[in-house]
Amino acid sequence: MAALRTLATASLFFALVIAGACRGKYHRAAVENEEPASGPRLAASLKMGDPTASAQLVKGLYGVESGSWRWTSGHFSILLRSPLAAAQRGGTLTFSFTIPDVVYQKLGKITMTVSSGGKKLNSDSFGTAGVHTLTADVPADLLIKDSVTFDFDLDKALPPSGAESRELGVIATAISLESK
Amino acid sequence: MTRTAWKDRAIGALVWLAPVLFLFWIFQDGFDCWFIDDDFAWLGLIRQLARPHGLLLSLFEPAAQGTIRPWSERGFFLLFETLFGIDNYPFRIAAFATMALDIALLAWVMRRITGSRIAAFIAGMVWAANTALMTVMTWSSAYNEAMCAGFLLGALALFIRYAETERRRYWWWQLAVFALGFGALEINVVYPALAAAYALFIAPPERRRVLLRSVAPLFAISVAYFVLHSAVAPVPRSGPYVVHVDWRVFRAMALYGKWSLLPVDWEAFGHSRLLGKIIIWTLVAGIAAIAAIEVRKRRIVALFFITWYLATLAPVLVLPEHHSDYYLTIPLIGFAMLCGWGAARAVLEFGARGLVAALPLAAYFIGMIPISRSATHWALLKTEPVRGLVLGVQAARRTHPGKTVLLDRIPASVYTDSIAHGAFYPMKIDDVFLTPESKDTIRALPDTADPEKTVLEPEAAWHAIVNDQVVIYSLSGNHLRNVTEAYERSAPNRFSDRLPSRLDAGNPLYSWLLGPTWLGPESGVRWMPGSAEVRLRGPESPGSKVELEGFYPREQLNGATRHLIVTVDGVEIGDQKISDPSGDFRRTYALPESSIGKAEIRIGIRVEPVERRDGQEYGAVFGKISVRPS
Repeated sequence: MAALRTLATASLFFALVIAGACRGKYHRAAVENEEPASGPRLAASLKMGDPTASAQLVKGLYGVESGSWRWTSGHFSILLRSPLAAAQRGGTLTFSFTIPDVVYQKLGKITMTVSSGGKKLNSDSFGTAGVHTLTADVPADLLIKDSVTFDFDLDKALPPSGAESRELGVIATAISLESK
Repeated sequence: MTRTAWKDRAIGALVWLAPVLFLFWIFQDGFDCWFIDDDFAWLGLIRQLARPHGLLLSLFEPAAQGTIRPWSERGFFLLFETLFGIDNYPFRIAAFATMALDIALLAWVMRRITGSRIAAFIAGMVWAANTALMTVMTWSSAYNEAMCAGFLLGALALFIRYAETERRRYWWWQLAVFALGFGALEINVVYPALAAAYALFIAPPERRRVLLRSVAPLFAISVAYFVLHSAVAPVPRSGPYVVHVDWRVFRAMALYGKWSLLPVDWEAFGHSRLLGKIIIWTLVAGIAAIAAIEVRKRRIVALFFITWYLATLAPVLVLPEHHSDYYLTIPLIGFAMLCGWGAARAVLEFGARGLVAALPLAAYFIGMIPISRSATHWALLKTEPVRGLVLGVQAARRTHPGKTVLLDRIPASVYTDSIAHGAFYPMKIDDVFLTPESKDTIRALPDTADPEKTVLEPEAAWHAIVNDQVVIYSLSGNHLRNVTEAYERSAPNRFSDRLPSRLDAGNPLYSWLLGPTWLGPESGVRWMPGSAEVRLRGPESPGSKVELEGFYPREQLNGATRHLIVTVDGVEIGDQKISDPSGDFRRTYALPESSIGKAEIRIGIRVEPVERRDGQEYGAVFGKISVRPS
């Protein structure tokens, strides 16, 4: 039995030696993929809670809040990639946002206009607080380039006041440009 | 302790330590081998723990081929994955350590049987060198062989102690180890034959009767295990694991005999056929010489080694459709013991002339060592792209959250070793698919993933690309390369903008073809409520059918038979019953002539009666829905 004990102890010793000494040829549980050298490509759709979306928020949008949305100012612009085949068929822009109670109580009905390259695409008025969507047809000739900037204008916004130094418009949650 | 005693202990340790180091040197590449093939099924068990009685079922539910190995497969993977995650190194360390323990036990048993350190040393070296051990040393799913060898050798060691000391507690410990061995591998059932062979051929004649009597309860346990196992996990009636007891048993025996002496891939690795034959016949001559000496000396010890080899090989000899050299892992212990015994007796009994025994041993090592090392390196190279693919997809998901990963140009062998075995399931990644072009390269295999679910239809790929839903990667050595832009640039030349003729309801990339009532996807399938609709391209020829594949939870079917009513563009085309107790269903309905050539048909599905839970209707679970030609 003593011999068996010796064997068991020796085997345990071996297991510990292997575990401790052998680091292995590879990193244990991760590999690094080859991504395009130009960095992350532009997206045709963005979720505002995604921190990487910042690169395409040209102006007028603030930082991520609660991990899912951003405040806009009264005028803001977003850059999107032209989706495949949109240059032939045109596209549909969908902007999802919320008008919070606090804004609605102070400003009432808000009119939002979206344009690109100086060309007005759509304008709509929103007379309630809550979740809304603004959609716009985007003509094919605006989508010939790899990317396109959309400019949004609100007819009114909350000016900076007190502790809040930002101009506040609506709460943006997502935007997407899809090929028709 | 005196210097002589220290020296003696050091030599005693070398008897097993040297073969262990030899084993590690030969199979060192096995340490880095990643998961492959069946490993993913065992790694996926952890996701099934949440079901009712999940742990119990995950440990003891018979596998597809009728095996129940709770410690060496399910328990092994569940424990190590729980402790260390999807990290190959702890698994490999366990395999290497268990094999080291096996060699130590083998050396101990050999010393007790032969009283010779040389015999123990040679037995360990012979076993460690054999190429048949490559699978165990490189593949975590083959850990059962290492663990079972440990149980058999451990039980035998305790039986030997019982025989030597007559202390009953050793018998009871042996019984416990033997009983636990059933959880490692079915071959454990032959242990009573090994113990009986020890009693008959090794034990002193005056102890034989007592020892043989003590083995009788072990045989009873093996018979009971066999009966119980056959009841809960019947022997397969089709496929490679069908049992046949006929003349092919002898053919299998000859094949395994040959593989014991020369690696199965000897010629595949570029070695000379003539040299292979010389090695085999040198070893055959050596074995014949051992037999002749044993007969002349009227010794029967060697019969124990032969019994070990044949008894542990017997269960696989009756599988004529399935031969694999790794089944030799445990039988080769008997062969190694025979070699150790023969070489030691030759040296001890014939002095310098006995050194001729080194010839067959040298022939054996010349045959085994290079192939064992090359085959192990080959196994490592085989797992590298699998590692790159699986961990690469995991990295891609982190880099592109919210995007579905599409894989392009995955080699067929890598697909078979990974995706076909559900490689992403353990990582809770259910939405990885292959580009439509992959259909031409991959091959459907039995009991593996359905290529119609893993390969995206061209039209669905086009829609996903146009709507920026996917990121596309190809395999580049041991990692993935993002080829999204290049693939997209060439996509318009290859894909057309039309509806597909097939969809997979559980795949979010086909959601645009589903009507508004469908529920969200869940792990590759999707519930429909009482009624739902899909859009597909109309058939191109008369006699075409629409085929629905799905699943109906058994507990719901117990309540009432369901009717599956299908309409095309509002016109009913059939009403079929679902009452199959297995739960899976596949139903086909003839399509009307009026649907031929249509760019779009609307297929309505209605389930009656429908179940309602918490205010939600649940009709049936769907997978593939397709329009198929006659």
